[in-house]
Amino acid sequence: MKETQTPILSIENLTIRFGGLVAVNDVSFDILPSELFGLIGPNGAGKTTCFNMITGVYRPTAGEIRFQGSSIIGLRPSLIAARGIARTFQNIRLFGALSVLENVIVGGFLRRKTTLFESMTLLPSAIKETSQFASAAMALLEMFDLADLADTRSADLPYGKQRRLEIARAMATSPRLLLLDEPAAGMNPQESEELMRDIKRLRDEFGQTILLIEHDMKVVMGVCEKIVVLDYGAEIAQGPPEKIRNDPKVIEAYLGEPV
Amino acid sequence: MPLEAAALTHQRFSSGKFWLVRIVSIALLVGIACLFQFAAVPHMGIYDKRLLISAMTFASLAVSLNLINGVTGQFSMGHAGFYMIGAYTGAKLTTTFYDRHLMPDYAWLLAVICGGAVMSAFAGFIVGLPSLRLRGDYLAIVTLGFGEILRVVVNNQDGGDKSLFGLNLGGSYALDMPRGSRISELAYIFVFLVITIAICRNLLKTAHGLAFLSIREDETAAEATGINTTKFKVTAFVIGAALAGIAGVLMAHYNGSVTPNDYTMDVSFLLVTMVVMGGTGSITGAALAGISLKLLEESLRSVPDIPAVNLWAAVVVAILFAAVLKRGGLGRVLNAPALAVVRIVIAELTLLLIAYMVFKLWHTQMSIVFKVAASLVFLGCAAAFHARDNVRKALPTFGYLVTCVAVVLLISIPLASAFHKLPLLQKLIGDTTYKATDVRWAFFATALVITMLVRSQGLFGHHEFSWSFLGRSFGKRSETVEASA
Amino acid sequence: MLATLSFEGLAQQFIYGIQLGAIYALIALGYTMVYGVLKLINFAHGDVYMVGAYLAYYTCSVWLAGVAVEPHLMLVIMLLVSMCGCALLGLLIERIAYRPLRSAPRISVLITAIGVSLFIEYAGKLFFQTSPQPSIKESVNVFKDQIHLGRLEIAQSALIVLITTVVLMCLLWYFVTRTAMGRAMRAVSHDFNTAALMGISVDKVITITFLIGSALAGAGGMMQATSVGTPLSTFYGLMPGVKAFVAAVLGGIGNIPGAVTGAMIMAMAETAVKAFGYSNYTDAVAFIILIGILLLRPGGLFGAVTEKV
Repeated sequence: MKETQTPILSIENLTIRFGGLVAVNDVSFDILPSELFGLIGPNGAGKTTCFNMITGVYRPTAGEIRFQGSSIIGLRPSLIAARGIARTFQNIRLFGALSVLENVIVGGFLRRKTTLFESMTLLPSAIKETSQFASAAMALLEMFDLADLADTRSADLPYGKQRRLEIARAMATSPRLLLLDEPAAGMNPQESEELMRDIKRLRDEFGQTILLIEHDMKVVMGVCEKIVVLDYGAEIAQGPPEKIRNDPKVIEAYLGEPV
Repeated sequence: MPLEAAALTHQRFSSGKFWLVRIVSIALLVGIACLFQFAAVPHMGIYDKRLLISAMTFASLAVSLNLINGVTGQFSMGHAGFYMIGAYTGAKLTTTFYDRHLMPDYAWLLAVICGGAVMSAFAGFIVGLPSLRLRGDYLAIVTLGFGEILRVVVNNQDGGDKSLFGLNLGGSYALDMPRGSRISELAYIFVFLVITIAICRNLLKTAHGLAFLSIREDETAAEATGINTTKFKVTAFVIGAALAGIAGVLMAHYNGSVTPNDYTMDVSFLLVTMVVMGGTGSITGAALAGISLKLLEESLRSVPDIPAVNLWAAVVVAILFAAVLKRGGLGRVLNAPALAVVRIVIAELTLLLIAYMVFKLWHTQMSIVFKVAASLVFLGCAAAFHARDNVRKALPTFGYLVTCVAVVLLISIPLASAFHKLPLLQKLIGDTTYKATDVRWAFFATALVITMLVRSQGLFGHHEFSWSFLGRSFGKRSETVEASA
Repeated sequence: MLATLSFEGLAQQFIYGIQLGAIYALIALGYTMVYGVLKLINFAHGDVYMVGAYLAYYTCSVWLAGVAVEPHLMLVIMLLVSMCGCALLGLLIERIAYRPLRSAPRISVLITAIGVSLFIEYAGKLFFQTSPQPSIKESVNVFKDQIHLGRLEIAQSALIVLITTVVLMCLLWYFVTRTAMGRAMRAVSHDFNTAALMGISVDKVITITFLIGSALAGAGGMMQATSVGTPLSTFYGLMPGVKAFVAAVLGGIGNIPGAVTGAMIMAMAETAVKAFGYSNYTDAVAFIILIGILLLRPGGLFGAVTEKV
């Protein structure tokens, strides 16, 4: 039924070997536009490695990654970001000494039109563009409820807000596909609820496609429309939450973890 | 934080006002330069002139190094190499091609500046490339190595059989430039310093500057956010190198000769010290540190010899004093408010130096108008500085620090004479005195280590607004200074 | 230059190279051990070598000048004084400058190391005699004679230096591989945090590493100053330090046999450059080798091929 839509991200037989270790083994899945997709599995299953391959940090040993129809293997991460894939990190990576606003401005920077020369000589075009970036960033901060902290040093923020800032920064790059790596890590139930609402809102209001790595099953089951389960680098199940919830292989992989 | 939410988003950009401010700034700059050139310089002693030129050149070198090290976070320790390439390119071009009848001097200087900048930029590109694969300390060694290789190579280019391609750069002696080719002036160096600061400050006022900063903060995240870290890192090297090269050209054409001994590892270390102590990423810090350290270095030459006993007595007392205080109040002294104070102390010292120069100015033969103008400008700056919020708040702690230093000195002097009488110490140290110049480097090194131990971001911390020479950014900035303390 | 191409010439150069390599090895070991344990390039290490040379000079020419000591014993005393003095210096440096910065960013520690190096060099000028530049009298070196092997001349001192170095390295090897503390050192260089969690006193390990490394450098300084007798200055250790560092990187930093191999290669390269008449360029050659290694095979000869530097 959904066959008529072309996937925005297409992973085919993705494999990566580090020396003798096969970290990701022949994984395939497709993500459709505006889909909320989950990538789960026990620790060490290869989930972040997949992210790293999609974003260009690692080069796969075999297989194909197609984004909006064209292969993105071998491109450097900044180019992949320019094409429309943004990500957050498992251990939050903010620009610590920069303020909240500045972090988000960096996100918008890749859509710049002015040159370095214009900035060095501070031509009106550079000033105007910086103002525009700042306004757009403020708008994004309003959306993520961080606007009142705009000038705060990002390293000084509490953990939950740092996570939100990281997502805001990723959104500032105007991505077509957003990769979130364990966004709920370290969050209390109330924060997770807010996160789930934010993720759904990103999709509902902006049509954002989101690929999510997560350990918190409540978040995964509550948000994702389709899930892929990895174990030791290989895919052991794929499908909607109800199917995954009851899949014996999945339950075994997690060894009785409440699903 | 260089970019503030309120300032950016709510300010309406007025094109007319922008251009007006621009034109006025440039006119002011040209005006001051001319003032220097025609009213001040002819009456300056050779020594003072050299001092000022040296200080300004090093300030601009520190600012250009700051772009690579402080802003982009690439640890470059071979900056003297870029300085040298510019100087030698300019010198060689002038030696080979200069002809005062061919074109006016300023045109030739501009041409040679371009030549030096291009060569240095190219060198910056070459040195920047390894930065893509090497992390911090390895990159530091490689850049250090580059600087040294260059110096050794140039040292051997005497046109003889040991030189490559028979290139004659004067070898280990000097490359002397033809008569009449000393076309660089103090005013040019001043203008160049302002331009260097302006370029860096402009960058940091725009989103482009943030891109460089993001590489320093977290390279992986920067790359994932769409910043081509390779391009930006190399660009930082290229710009920093080009600016250093131009400084080299200007200096070479002031001196009239270039010698490899002016570009040793020491110079690179001194520059790194300036950037580190001034504050990695802070233009103000780099420039101030550049000027102060250089002036300190020069002025220490004329300080009378320090008796060894006194020095060691002072050190011992200071350490004991610090240990005692630590139990009580040193913890208080070593945190943010006191650091703000130290910054203010440095700024006060700079003001004192300027006051001293203005004072000496009054004893020269210059026109009364000039003297009055200079005095007013100085008084205005001093007043504006002291009117700042954070200065007022920090003055009590300032008093506290001054008292500590005074106490240390008061105790150590009689103690020193007491020590002097002890036979063991008599034998060990005797009546040796230290020349201030020898001590200065030990002092710098100690200051460097202590800075790292106490506050590794340097005195002015990370990125901070540098107030433009035209003093536009008081008021609002004081909050930023507090926030980033 | 042609003279060196004969067999005797080559062999002669080879012997010069080995002697130099032994000294570089002693310094390189200190670099590599400290890096292995702390991941820090101890910029001040070359200056420890310099202090060793000065201590040797002061021992024989100032402190024991009037005392009648049997010449061989004098050498032993100088060696011990240098080694102990430098060990102490290394300990002080670690305690004062590096320990407080254990968790600081790498750049800060590197700058501190540079600061310490500069401090020793310039404060040293205040304490050590620098003009006229002192040098250890030839008479102290009782191994001046040449041993003749056919048409080759090997200085006795070269042999003694080599033997002493080998003995020291064997002691080190025994220590690192056979003792508990040596095992602890290796554990810490593998994984700092895990070793600490396993109950290893990381502080003690680091202190011992500095002690040993500095003592070796001191020995190197004493032997070089005595056998070659070049005039001393507080910058005496700067270039040897850099070259030894390159040697350590060449062999794979953190790798002990690698440091020795790298040192030999560096020494041979330097001797070759000198033999070809380009002795002015030896410093540049050291850096060129360094840059080459870091760009082509950053892990060094014995390190991982794709070490992420």
